[in-house]
Amino acid sequence: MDGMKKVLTTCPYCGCGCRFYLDVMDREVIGVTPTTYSISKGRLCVKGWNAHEFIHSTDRMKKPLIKKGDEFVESTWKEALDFVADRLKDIKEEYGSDSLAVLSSAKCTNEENFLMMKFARAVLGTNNIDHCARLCHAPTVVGLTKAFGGGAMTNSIDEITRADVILVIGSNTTETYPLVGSEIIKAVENGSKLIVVDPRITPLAKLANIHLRLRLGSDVALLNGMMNIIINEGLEKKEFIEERTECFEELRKTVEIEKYTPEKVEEISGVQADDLNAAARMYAKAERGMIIYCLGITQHVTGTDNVLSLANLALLTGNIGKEGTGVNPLRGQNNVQGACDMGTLPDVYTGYQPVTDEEAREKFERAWKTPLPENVGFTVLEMMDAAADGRIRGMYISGENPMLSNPDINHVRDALEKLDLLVVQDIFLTETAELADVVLPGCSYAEKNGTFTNTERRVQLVRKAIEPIHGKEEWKIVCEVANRFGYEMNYGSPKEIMEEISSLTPIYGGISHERLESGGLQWPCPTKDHPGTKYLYENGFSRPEGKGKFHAIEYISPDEMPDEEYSFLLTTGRVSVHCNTGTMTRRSGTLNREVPKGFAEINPADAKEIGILKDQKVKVSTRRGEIIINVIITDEVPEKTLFIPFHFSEEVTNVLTNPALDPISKIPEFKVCAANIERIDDVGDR
Amino acid sequence: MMWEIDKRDILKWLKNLKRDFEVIAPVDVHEEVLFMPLSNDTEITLDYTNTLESPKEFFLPKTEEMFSFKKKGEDFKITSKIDDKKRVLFGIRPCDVNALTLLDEVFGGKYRDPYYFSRRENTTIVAMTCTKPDINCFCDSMGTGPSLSKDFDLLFTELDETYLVEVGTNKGEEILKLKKDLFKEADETRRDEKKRKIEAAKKRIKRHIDPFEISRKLKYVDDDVWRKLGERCIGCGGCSHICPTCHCFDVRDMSVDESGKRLRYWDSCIFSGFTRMADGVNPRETKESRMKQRYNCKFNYFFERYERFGCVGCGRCTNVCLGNIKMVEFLKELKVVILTENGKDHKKDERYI
Ligand code: SF4
Ligand code: SF4
Ligand code: SF4
Repeated sequence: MDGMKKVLTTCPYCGCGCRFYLDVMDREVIGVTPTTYSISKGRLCVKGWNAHEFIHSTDRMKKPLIKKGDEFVESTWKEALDFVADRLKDIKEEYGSDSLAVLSSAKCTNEENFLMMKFARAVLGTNNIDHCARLCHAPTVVGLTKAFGGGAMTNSIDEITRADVILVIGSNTTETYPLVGSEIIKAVENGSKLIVVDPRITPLAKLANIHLRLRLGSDVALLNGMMNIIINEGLEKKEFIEERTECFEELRKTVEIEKYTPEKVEEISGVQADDLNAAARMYAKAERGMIIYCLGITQHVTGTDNVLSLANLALLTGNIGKEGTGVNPLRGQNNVQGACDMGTLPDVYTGYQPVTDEEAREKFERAWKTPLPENVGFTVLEMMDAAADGRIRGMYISGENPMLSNPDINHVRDALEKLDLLVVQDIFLTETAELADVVLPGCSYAEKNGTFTNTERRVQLVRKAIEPIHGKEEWKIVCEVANRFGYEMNYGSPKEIMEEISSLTPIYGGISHERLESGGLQWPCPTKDHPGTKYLYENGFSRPEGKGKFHAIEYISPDEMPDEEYSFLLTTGRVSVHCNTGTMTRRSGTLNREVPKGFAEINPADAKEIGILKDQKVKVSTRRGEIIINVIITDEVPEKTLFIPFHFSEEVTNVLTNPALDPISKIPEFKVCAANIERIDDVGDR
Repeated sequence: MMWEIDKRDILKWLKNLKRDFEVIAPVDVHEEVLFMPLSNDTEITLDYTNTLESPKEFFLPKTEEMFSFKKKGEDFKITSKIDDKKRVLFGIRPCDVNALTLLDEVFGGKYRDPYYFSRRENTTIVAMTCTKPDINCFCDSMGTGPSLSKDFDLLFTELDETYLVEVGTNKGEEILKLKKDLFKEADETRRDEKKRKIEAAKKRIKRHIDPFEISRKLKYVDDDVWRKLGERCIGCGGCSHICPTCHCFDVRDMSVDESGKRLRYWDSCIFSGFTRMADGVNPRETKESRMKQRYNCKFNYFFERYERFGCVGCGRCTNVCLGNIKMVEFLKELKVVILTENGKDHKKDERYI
């Protein structure tokens, strides 16, 4: 056992931000050791326990690849980076900066995201930079900023057990944020009450005091209904509303109308009036009521409306600004919070400083010694449209896999194939990388130093356990491309990059790698001696006059509802053993063995009706495409509803999904569309 | 004969042992006490409750290369990799020593596992009487702690001023002799002091079960109990990862162009993939069936094979459970439902067991 080491680091999978040690023996990562340190308290989910498995996968790319004809040819780093820089320069000269776009990654560290952001803005000269948060939590950022002045989880994971009522809506928490799920279970055991709002019978729904099984996409109606009840019964917190909020009257006028009485809401949502009454009272009467939500809220054309409605509910009952309360989005990937914080978004620099704000722009121009673009850039889906019609000519995609994660994949393929230059940087040859002109091998989390920011705004260190498998640290790649543009990007280490981040970003102002050595820090952390912030808005909201704002929201139905031709509702989601497009988990032996293939869940009544048996193959189709997939028959999904996880490249769920966008946040409606299901075999032939 | 060593001299002794052995000892890394090989600058820690992870991995690594293979023309060259490094494992607690002797049963017998036994035989066990049980420990009920009377090479017990050292085998005697001047003979009064320490530790153990009763009950438990437990389990696999007696592994080849290595690594009966067969049929398809397997394995199947229970009461699976399942509480609340003789009504009746 020569050279056995245990290196404390942060999980690369979900936003819970568990920590563990990577066990290293003879330069190979052989296992994971848990820690009682930090929020994990000795626990990990199945992904965490097996987070070492993909690191040494034989699929890891060892050398840059350049496409010659139809084939990839291995090249040296120098050749590949020269090629990338030259082609990017050509396109910039010929078509202008805004014909280039960058997709950064929620898997990468804050330091790497910061550099990608700086590269796009200072070197390429465009605000066309985005990442996959668009596809999960853009409505959160927009909605919570409108209501409270900030787009992050308001409270902390360890406060869950201190809430006396927990409202979980649109989140299958034990599968997708297992550690948060575990805390909710603990809270329930200690006597907290639990309300679950979900069309599916999730594991938490089984534990809940009240389970509201609403129709897909009827969230706004249901939430307005709860507020209708609360106001009617005088359960709103009048003093809080008076002192700390604005626009209450508009909200009252909207939710008080006939349409949102419990009986009417029952018609829209399918939730019985009695149950809705009980839930509204339970939440409103809580001393500390906490809302936890996830993609079931955001991935709708009404995503922003849904988030605003949750904010309304919290403001109405004063359940915000104190411990054990708040509106808490669970943010998907390990570092999706950090990627947003780092400004890999088309409209803001780090710490949500708008690119359109002159003062902010001047600050960055001074620091980076170059003029910066003023116009807001394209979001990821707009980039695809722009690529399809030739407005975007070159794209640099780091660690993202839009060929699986975006809606309407066929359109994405067309768009990416049209590009003059596609550069993909990733640890595996992903579906997206297959289409690239140049592929640059990235580093796994085990090969880098830096930080991730978890869903509760906690910045934590990622420590290098082994040297990069292909010999180059990932943050250096973009620096070397920048230097070829004649723009100096020279840092000694990720630690120095963090120094630049904190100097430009007030909410990260007091954060440094030195301080993080002894544990994570939750932003806002403005100064070197600031202890970090457990929960937000204790003394006022981050809006004018410190007031929270109500928004009157009307219910609108999902973009595509079932009809005669497509009579089922299709919804998508995740399973606990896999992470997003599966690039890492599908290559982890234990995890992939657990759920090796995609499936569609269908209610037994429908299965009988159509005549399908367990594990039989079916064809699921929508107006956009079709897939062949095995069925699982379970009453955990309601009738006339299909649930399909989106991790599998063999059954690409996103050829089915509807790209209709939320007009405000531009998130596509992954969670609902109309679909049809047909048997394709004889029943006997499985 | 009994010996005594001054607390401050333990590190000296271990550092000296490092010349001839790899010394594994509890080390405080980032506030976590882990069993680690001592290096020149590590300090051992003696002040800890049961470690979150047992030292199982020093006998059965999380991932282990069994052999590598290389294709050369028509020939295959296979090189096996047996770890025969000389080690001293210092500070292992009674529960974990008992777990090791259980693993001896599993890996021994007719098909002796050379990888395991090479490590086992080359490791000298310096055990530590447990004076600081954790809140979830129940070793007392399982007969596996907090004291230890056999299966060690040396046994240390923390007394007020010094550590008492008892010799179990020649192997133990050998490493003690390497720096004999650090040890002095202990007189008989120390034996009473040790007893008092053990009694005090026992009092600190808050959880108790009767494993024989549990074993009988588990055979008759109503399906509903397993269903409820299955609903609570999130399937993380942590309970078997962390359990000092869980030993299931899987084997996988990692190869490129017909050259590569064969690895074995920890596996768990909690996973559905553990028993799923090639055509998809799975005898333990549901979480409830897997829960039933886990508990029966610990309290019945082990016993049937080795006349010992497969749980040593270390409480670790409770510490790490993502579903917040508390093993002892669950076992104590087990209610057995048996169809009465007339077959008509279900009735809670424990006369039968
Ligand atoms: S995936 Fe999430 S819950 Fe699981 S170990 Fe990693 S951070 Fe924790
Ligand atoms: S089953 Fe639990 S308590 Fe028993 S030995 Fe294993 S980890 Fe310890
Ligand atoms: S530790 Fe708990 S949640 Fe995890 S597999 Fe074991 S019983 Fe299930």
